[in-house]
Amino acid sequence: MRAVTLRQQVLAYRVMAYVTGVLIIVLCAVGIPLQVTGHPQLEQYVGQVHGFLYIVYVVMAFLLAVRLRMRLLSWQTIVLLLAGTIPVLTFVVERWMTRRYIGPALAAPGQAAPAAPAPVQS
Amino acid sequence: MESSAPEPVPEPGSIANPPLPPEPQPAPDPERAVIWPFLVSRKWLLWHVTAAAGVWGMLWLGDWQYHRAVGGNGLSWAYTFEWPLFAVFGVVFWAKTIRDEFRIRRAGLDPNLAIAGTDPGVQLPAGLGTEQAGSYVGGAPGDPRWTGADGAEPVLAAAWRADMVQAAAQWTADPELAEYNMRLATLNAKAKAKEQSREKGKPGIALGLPASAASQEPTAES
Repeated sequence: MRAVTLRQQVLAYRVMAYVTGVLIIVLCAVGIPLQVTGHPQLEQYVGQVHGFLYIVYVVMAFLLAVRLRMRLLSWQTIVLLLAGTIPVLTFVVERWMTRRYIGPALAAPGQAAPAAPAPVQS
Repeated sequence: MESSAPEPVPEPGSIANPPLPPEPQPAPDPERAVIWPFLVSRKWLLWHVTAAAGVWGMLWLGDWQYHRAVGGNGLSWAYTFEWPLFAVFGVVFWAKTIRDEFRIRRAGLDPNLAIAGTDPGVQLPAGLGTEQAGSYVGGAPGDPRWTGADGAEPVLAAAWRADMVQAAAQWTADPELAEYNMRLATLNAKAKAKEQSREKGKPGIALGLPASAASQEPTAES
């Protein structure tokens, strides 16, 4: 019996993926142009926040990868971990993770999935 | 009470000494099997070097940020602590890849995995993705029992296990050849899985291939 369910881990990963994803877009689309035009404050402070939240993202993504039994030394895991530093990539990777790993894991037996409806006799 | 002369060793098979029943062959012990040589294979040496360089680089960046912070750049204090954290994570990640690889390779010797193709309750070793786990429940892409994603490549459990057992036996003699055969076997299994998923009308994938895919390739044993 695990204290933390897969669903909770997936939720934590998704929240962090979207938060870091939005922050890196703000950083690149707004912060850098402002910095170039002589207003570096936004870039600096958003950069700091992103830096710390990226640590959380990496930890959550790593724990999820372990839970999903992904092979760690694989380009899939490397891309998953690095996605938080590249604009837009977290959104793409989150969808791809869902389709390829999270969906099947949640559908697998042993997960506390809602009971399947009884087959209809025809 | 000691016997002075060494006792003559009686010939087995003589009347006085009926032939002994053949000693039972010990099953391969997952804990004892020599599997560490994969650590010095080319791929893993490259990974060790990459990991070491990465960790060193992150520590170097932390040191650089520390000197900037001391020099008066207040924002650098945060990065001074972040980079060492990333370095620690890098070490943990590297250690975990090694631990997982040992588990995967030991699992090849694990008799429990033989029933993984039929029993959904069997815990797969770390590193074998849930994507592949779909194939263990039964079926293949297109099969109603298949729980994997569309386009996922199932690992053929029985064939994979046979390859792992064979490779484990080979690692002691010739680690490089064992790695090579495993790579061939993986490619073979993937190609077969893709072929199966293309023909969606066909029923479940052949979980029990007749023999290890690698055994069809020339090996040192022949």
